[in-house]
Amino acid sequence: MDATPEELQLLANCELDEIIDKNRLIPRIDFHTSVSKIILDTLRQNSKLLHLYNLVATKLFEFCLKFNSQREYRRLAETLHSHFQQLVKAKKNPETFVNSKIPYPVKLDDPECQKFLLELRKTQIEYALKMEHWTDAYRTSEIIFMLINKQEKKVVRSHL
Amino acid sequence: MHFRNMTQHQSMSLLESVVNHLIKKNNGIVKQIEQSDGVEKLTKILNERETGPDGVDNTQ
Repeated sequence: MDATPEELQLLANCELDEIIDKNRLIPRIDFHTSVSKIILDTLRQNSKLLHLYNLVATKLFEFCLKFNSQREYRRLAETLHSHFQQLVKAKKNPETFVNSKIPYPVKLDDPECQKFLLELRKTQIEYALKMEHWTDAYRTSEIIFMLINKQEKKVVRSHL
Repeated sequence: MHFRNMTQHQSMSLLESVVNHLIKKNNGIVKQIEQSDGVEKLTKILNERETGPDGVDNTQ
């Protein structure tokens, strides 16, 4: 194979082993994160499998912290916020649940769903603080506040 | 997507077992890399990736 002068220059300035390692490992890591993302997307509206949703997200947070992957952390945080916003939207337009015919939708008013949602946000804020993602920690704290408020309102109503 | 919609309605246990299998296999990928190449190498590669055009954090 004929290499261009630029390619030869690049090779001379790089460690060939490093390039080989990168080409070998990065696709595997991308596969790992993509599969996790697909699982999260698949389970985001399934209240019966929220424990698996939380498990996958927590494992990915562990991965981000262990390997200090800021990029994957941001992607995961964005995915979780987007999924939560979809739940908020669905609550504002309840007819979407009926029209979409989802068998076990995640409802923000359901105490069991709230428990899982809160658990994951607690995990998220812990990792956000550990990885110094202050903006994400703030956004997560807002969600926690919102979820706790919902629970408190229910408790007050049940006492009245 | 079709698989999810179908199993959500017909067999939740099938969906659960498929997802569990995927999680197990997926976690195996990271364990395998850790064992063959070590944590340090992977951390270094992921950190180098951060400095690329997609790695700039605009949210902070």
